[in-house]
Amino acid sequence: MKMSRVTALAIVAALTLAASGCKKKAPETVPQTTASPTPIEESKPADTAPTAAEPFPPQNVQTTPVEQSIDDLNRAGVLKTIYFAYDSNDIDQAATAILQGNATWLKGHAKYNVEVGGHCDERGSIGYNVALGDRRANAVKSYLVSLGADGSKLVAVSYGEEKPADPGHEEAAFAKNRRAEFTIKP
Amino acid sequence: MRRSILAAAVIAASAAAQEPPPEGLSGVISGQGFTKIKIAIPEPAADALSREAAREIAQTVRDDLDFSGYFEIVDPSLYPLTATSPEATPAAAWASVGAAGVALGNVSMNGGKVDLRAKLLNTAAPGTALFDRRYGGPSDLVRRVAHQLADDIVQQLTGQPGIASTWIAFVGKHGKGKEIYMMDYDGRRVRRITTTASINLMPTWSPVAQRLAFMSWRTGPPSIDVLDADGKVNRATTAGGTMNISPDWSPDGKKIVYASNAAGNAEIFMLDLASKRSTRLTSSPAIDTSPTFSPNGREIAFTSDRAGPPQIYVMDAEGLNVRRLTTDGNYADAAAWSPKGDKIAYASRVEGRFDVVVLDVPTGATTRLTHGEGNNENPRWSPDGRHIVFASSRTGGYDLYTMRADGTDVRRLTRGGDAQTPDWSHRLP
Repeated sequence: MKMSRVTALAIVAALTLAASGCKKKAPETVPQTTASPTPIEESKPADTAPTAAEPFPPQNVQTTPVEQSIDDLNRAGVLKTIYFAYDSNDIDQAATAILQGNATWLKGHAKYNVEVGGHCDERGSIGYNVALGDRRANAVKSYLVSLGADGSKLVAVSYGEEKPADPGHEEAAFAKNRRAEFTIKP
Repeated sequence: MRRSILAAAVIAASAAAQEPPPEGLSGVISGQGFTKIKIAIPEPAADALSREAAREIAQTVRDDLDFSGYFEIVDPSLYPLTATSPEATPAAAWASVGAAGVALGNVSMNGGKVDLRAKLLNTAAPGTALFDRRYGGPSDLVRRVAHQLADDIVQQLTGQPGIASTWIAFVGKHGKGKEIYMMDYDGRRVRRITTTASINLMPTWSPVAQRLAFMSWRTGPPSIDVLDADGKVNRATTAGGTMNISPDWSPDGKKIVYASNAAGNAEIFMLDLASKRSTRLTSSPAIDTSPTFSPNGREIAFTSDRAGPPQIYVMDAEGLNVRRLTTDGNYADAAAWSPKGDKIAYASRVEGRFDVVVLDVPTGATTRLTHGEGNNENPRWSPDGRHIVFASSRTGGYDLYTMRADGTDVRRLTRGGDAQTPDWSHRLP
């Protein structure tokens, strides 16, 4: 299935509105009835051809896709993070599925520049981990390009062990930190 | 940083000509298992306003001489005895409390300046001072004045240059980022020298000038920056790609060897600073990184995972003749050549923890210098090759420590729990 870009954006926009916009509270005060009602104007006799009481033909609501800001897209996590095994840059089954989704989004939003950030857990050495993060980021980039994403819009950047997602020092944290993370850039 | 890192460098104003060390003193430290030289460092004479500086100078010189390992400081509680002793000369009085040498001085803090005059006496031959010098500088350089005096005492009595005037550059957390810092070799006078609100790592001193190369994320992908003596940071022209990391200087300061992904994956490159041209030195599908020049400039040690987990390799400076150096542990990185080139220190991981290991280059024999107290990483040598600075997580967060080249006399330099990747400055002519 191939969604048109406009439709896809509209859906994203609609979902975002649904998520954020539908909870407006009704005003709590009841409007007071005025003591002296406004006089009703007398209707004039129709001296022209009668018009439809309602606009006719009924107008469809005009929808213009609202351009989501890059911050909104990053916050919404439209591009999903993938995780690696220890000292590995192999893309496993779970990561494959996620990257396929990411590639679809990228192909539908080809105008965006995207940074692929490669990260490591803290157990290796600082120096080697920067190179390992680079290998992870570039493995992900290559896979996305093989799925049809535009390589010229993807920048692989290693952060080594410098930006942990979880500051903990146990395996649960390490597993969250061995990752490739996507950031849409202006 | 706007203030020149050179500002602190030149403080010694030498007055008297240097005399050769007398036989009795210099002979003491020659040979195996030498006896430490007993020396007394009383407070320099000072007026009331300069008393505090006098105390700080005396204590700093004592600490420096103790750190050097060549000296035993005569207990300061004995010093008042010299004022009441019946000996004919002041020097003989100092000899009576066991001092082979004594540094006598006076200091004044006037007009925002420190002015120290110091004489070094051989108590056995008190006729002439071994040296008599004035040291001056802005008043905030009291400690560096003391370090300079300590280095002169070491030089005079051992014939070896001291290291008390050296610095250590390192990385510390600042806000959400990591910035480059420097401090005196003893951990004092810590100053932050970058403001990037970003991550910076692995500062490395040029061997021939007050320049630091380091890697920085300040503009996005990790790149190599050079901080010059004028305080300006310049981006090095590297091979390209999105990763240019772990710089090290050639011994003549004219080249920077580094790792780059310009050719696809991490390979070692050599940048000629004059022509701004980079040459690729390695070619393997594996990670090749953390290169470091041998002191004679003929070889480069680096880290590679071409045979599995990362290990240290050595190649000629042209990239040929690659051979594996380390085989112990399951993970080795951060090689550092000793100043003489006969040893390589590195971080070796065994059972999940890094220890500092020193490899004797001629024999390949390894000695573990730390023993599983937290992680112990990124060792770098003092310019005299007698000490090693390293980062350790033994108390939780990472702090910097020094130890003797044999692993003894461990001293903690920082207490913030967030200091990493140190490098010890070279001695400059």
